[in-house]
Amino acid sequence: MRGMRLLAVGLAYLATFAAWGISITITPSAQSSGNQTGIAAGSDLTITTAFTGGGYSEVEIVINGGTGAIGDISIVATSNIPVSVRIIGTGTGGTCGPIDSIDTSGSTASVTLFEVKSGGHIGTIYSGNIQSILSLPVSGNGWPGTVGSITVAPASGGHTSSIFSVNAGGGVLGNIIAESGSIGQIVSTGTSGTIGMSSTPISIRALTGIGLVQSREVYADISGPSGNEFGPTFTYLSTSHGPFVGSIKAANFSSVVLNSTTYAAGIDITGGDLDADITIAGDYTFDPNSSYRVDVNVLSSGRAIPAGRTITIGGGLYGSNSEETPVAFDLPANGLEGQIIINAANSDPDSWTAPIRVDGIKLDNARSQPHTAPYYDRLSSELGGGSVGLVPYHLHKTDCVPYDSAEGYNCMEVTTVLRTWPASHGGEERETIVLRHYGPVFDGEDGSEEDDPATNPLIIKRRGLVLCSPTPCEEYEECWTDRSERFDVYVVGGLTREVWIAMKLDEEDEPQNISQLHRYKVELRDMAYGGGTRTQLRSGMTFFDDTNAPPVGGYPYEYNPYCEFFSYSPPNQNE
Amino acid sequence: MRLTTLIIAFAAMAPVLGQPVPDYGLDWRTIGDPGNVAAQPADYFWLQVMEFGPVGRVDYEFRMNQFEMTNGRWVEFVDSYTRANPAANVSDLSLTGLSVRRSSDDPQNYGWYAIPGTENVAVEIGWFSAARYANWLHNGKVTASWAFETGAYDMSSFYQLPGGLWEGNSQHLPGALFWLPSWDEWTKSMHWDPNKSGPGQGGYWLYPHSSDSRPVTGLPGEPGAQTSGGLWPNVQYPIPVGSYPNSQSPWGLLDGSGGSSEYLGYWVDGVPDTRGSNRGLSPSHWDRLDYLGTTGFPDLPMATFRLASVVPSPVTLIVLVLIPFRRRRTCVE
Repeated sequence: MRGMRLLAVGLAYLATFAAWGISITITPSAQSSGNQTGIAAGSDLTITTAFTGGGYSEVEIVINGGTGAIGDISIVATSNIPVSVRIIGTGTGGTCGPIDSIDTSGSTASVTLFEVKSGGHIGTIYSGNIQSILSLPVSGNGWPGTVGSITVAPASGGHTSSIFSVNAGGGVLGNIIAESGSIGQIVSTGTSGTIGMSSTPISIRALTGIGLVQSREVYADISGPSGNEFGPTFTYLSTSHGPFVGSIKAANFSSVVLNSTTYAAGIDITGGDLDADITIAGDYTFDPNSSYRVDVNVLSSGRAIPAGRTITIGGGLYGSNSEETPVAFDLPANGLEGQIIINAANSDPDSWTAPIRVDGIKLDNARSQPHTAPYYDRLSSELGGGSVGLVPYHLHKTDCVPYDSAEGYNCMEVTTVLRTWPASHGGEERETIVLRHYGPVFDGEDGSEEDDPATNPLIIKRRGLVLCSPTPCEEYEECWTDRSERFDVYVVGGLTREVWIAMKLDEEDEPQNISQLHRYKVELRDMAYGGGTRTQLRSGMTFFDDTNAPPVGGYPYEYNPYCEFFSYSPPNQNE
Repeated sequence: MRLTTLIIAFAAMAPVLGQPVPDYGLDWRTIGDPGNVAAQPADYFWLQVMEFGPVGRVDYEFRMNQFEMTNGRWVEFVDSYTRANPAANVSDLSLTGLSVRRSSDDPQNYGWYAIPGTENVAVEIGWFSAARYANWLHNGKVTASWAFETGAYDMSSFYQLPGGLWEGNSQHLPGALFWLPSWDEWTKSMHWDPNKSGPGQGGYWLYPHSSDSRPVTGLPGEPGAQTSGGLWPNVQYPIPVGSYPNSQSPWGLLDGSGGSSEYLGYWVDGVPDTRGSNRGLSPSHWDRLDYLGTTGFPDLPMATFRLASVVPSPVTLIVLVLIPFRRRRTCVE
């Protein structure tokens, strides 16, 4: 009798302990590390299965952590059938506590984490396919609901490995990598959760596709496996309370179906800037009547594509255009501080046919000036300081200072500006003509190096405005005359889109004003290229290296300081 | 003596007597066999593991939508809600889903529409929006802010915890005409077959297409294809609801497998729960009778839904007749 009572107590103790501890259930359990119960919370777990029997389509492993934490989980599956793993608990939402790590490396079988539910922080995960990772923040327990890095890789023997869903209410803190497959969705929308952090952005990489990235704020570089590849299609990124900081490199924006929802591809940023470099290798096709519409929206006033950021489309920005249709890019007032580049692969010069809107200013090829794409007359200052450039870039004639003025203009309204020149080009503050283009330009003789003052990509011609009589005046040119040697040209480079022109310093190294008694014409200088010629001034930040960069167009530029109060008839041109 | 007959006729006024419950153009199936036995944890692995259940017993008749809610039908709700709530965030994806868009910024006429080609595809919205839809139908589709806030669910009962989770009364209100199905109701309508083992011999199918074998994943029309569950990432276009017409529950419901996961009403474990696979989740697990999914956040567009409702009864006229009484003669003296 006493033995029976002891047995009963022992069994009761085991039952109690089982209710508290971690349990492992393996089905089938044959040829495995076996079912276990009552494992102390926080323990590391090593689970193996080498099942080679029949009668089962997969090995199922269930780890129930109760409401406690789990340490490092190692699963080595060498079975001849796939393995599915579920890690759950009995807390809110069926969650267990924090999980230190999950590692299935060493497995030769295909291992799928088909559900992991934690209320704490899930550390590093290395697995085969992943269907669902869910981490819920529970303030009462101090559980942050965060997820660390996740990597999926195929077991030896090959097959793709993908991640379908990661939902971490408290934030995604580590890299998400599916180097041989796709990523479905990464979501973090708790009150404080973000994807990456401003201090520690993450990498999100996949081979074939990345679907939804959605959070309050996103700090991430999104790309193909190596970090520099345009492998994946990319679908949709949104923020609800802050910026997207980082980058996207993708083959194209592609609307895909995740679950049953058509995720019309694009980007929606609310409450922050689109502070990212985005590069799409292919076309950006915008058709408001298509399921596959793509649009990029910065939805909060006062926000922008900041200066220094570039959205580059390798192919065209194609789409319908009318007053009624939505737009491919929708930015608030002054929302275009950065640069949009279209046709970076220089394959189609007529490849901007979809509307871009900045605070109601809609640019597209069906509208009249000042809104006619691609060579719109709207000033960059009216858009935020940035620009939309179709490769090969043209001169933005109305944005130059002074603006292109073949017919003359009121001298009282428009003048040159003073600019401080770099020491490499002689220095000094000088009266300067500022040429602006729709995209970044560089001197093809100098490449990506600093602009060399000895190389001049422009031909600067001059002809006289004032007819002297009875004899020709000194310095009067009756016809257009190349006076390039009298000018310094500075290709500012980068995203400034500017080229400066000023008179060379005089013999005493003093600045000289630009004569108001002459008209000026600036033309592009050609250089030898591939058996022919190409403009020395080149379109930058395209898909080409410096040597093969596309040319620049839209010249000549004319500066005609003819003013209203002049009573003057120009002589016949001798050209 | 002249008798005057008093006739009093009662139209339907209370559920006891039957009441009009509009169909609103939705396809409904009645789930009968009240008092069916529940599925027991002892018989189902995941119920045991998760310490849930029993599940599936419902002691009353009710209706369920035959199909999941679609983007095309959702447009009307979004339009009504944003008109009634001018301050609503029209960019909130848990409200609109991702395939319902607006064509203007005019608060008086946003011009909501479903992306062409997605009208008959399941909409994915937040649980709160699904609950508000039930309220809206309960209140006769009135375009007024109150009509979205009560009736089926008391939306004022929900509040967000510091960690981001929500709490509130996820059980539908007494007298609700429409609601999100409970786990019991969803399980019964998808898995319980009153005649599974023969006439009058009821039982549960493990999977929602009237089978104990997992549904076969494949494109609509492919030989043998029974579900879109688990198709991801191989298919890049939307699949309309009802694309697998031969994959029906015992009560004729479609898309219990695949399509999108579906919200349940009452939160079983403190957060919104779902049932059913979607394109990314393998039906072998997620479509099992004993499997419960979790979305975590009711303000995220994570799943779709179908509604449950009372079964409308014919209006009953109760006629009280023939109450003869004598008119008092006025004596004239």
